[in-house]
Amino acid sequence: MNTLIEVKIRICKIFICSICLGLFYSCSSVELPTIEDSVSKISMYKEKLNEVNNIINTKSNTKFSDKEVTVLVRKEMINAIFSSLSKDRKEDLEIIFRKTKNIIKDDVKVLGIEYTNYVDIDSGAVQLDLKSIKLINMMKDKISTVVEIEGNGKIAISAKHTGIGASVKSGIELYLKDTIEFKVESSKISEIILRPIPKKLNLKTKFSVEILKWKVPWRENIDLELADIISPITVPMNISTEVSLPYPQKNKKPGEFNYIPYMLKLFDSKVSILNENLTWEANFNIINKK
Amino acid sequence: MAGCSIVEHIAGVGFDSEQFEKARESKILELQYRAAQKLEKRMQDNSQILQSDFNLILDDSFLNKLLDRYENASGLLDESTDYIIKDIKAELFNGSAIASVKLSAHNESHNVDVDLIMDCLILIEQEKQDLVLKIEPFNIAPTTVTKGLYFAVKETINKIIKLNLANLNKNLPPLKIPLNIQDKIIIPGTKSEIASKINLTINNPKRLIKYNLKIIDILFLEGQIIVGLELDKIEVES
Repeated sequence: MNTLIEVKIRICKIFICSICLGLFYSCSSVELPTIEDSVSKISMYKEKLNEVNNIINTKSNTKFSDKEVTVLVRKEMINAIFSSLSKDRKEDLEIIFRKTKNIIKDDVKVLGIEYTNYVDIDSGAVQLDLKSIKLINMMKDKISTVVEIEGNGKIAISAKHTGIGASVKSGIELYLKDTIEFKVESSKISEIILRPIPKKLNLKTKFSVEILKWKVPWRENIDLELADIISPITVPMNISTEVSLPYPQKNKKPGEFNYIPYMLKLFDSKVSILNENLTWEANFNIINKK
Repeated sequence: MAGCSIVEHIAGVGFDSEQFEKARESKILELQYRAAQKLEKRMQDNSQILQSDFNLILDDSFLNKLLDRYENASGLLDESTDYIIKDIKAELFNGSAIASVKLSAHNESHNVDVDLIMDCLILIEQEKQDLVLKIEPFNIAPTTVTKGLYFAVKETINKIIKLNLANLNKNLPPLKIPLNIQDKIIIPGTKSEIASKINLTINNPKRLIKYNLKIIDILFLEGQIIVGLELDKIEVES
């Protein structure tokens, strides 16, 4: 009896095995290359890849920075940005002449009488055109530019000559061409600061007027502090401050996502000039905005 | 009872892991080689890297910090198979970027738990002012089976690999990174009263330089991505 049961059990085992095997082979299997084929391809591609990588790495000399984000701005782009300031407009800078006494003063004696001849500027305005601003050099932490400005305007002049006073309006010409340097700095909040390096600029001024038959040619070089004309320029480097990452969800259909906002926070930034590129580097963290 | 041992014996051994592993390695190397070959050819024509006006260089940790946010994210591979991302890591090679995603998948109808590794190509494109990271799966392979009967494991794996690879990118939508690269510079205005030989007031009005950058080139090099941009439009406003 026991023998009969054992035989039945064995028949059952064989039957179950047959069903299982049938199921295994009825499943469509993934077509994979054999291990030997794959190993041979791996060896071939590794060798070829090494060769190509060596060529590329020699040409690219790849590692530009140790930071996670680096921005290289070429000299040509900085020049284009500077140059844009000199285009389109003719009135880039305005100089107002305020009352200035005795720009010319001369004590004379006529027929034994002493006179003080003088010329005052009463008022005036000149619109100056930034003719050009050209980047000439980028080295260490400095950007050097040459700036050319010129303009014409009118001034009101009053004068007294041998005791007789008169007022007249005259044309005036202003011209400035000088080198302006900016120190490149990095701020704590991911900005590049172009800070003008203090210097005196020489504004050439001239007018010529005839007043009371007195010909008055006047030329004057006026020293201007650069800081009076240009403030530090801030260039924000807000590279992607916010990003929404899509998340698939178990309870949603494929193709439907939850979006979670994150902030990219740049820190530890530094700026330098390297091979005539303005180089800004920083690390970043990604933090949940919620 | 003895019959059950046959099934138990084969439970969890539903695939040849070495065969998958080698096939995967070979596929990745082939892809890397093809991409590197293209890059090398391109560099023969123009060996100047970083010739764009503006170059944004992203270290591979930039990518990985973004991708780290997907660890433990879950979703559905199909109506009966859910997954959880256990690990995601991107590597940058010459000419290509590849992300490997380790997934734990569970098939409800067959009660199978299987760990998978999915390899994806990372593509970077520009859409308006956004840098768009697209993740395209090209390979999926099982690594370990933690639960399930042989035939169920095999069927689940086959289904995931054969049927789902093409649809997997539906689970991986593009990651949009707004590229607000300093598109405006403010030149602050100044007003100075100068009392010297001539009394002057100098007005330098505030100006706003607005410009657009457009992506002209994206280059994958070992350990870094270089996005080359050029000045598209520049204007000055008062």
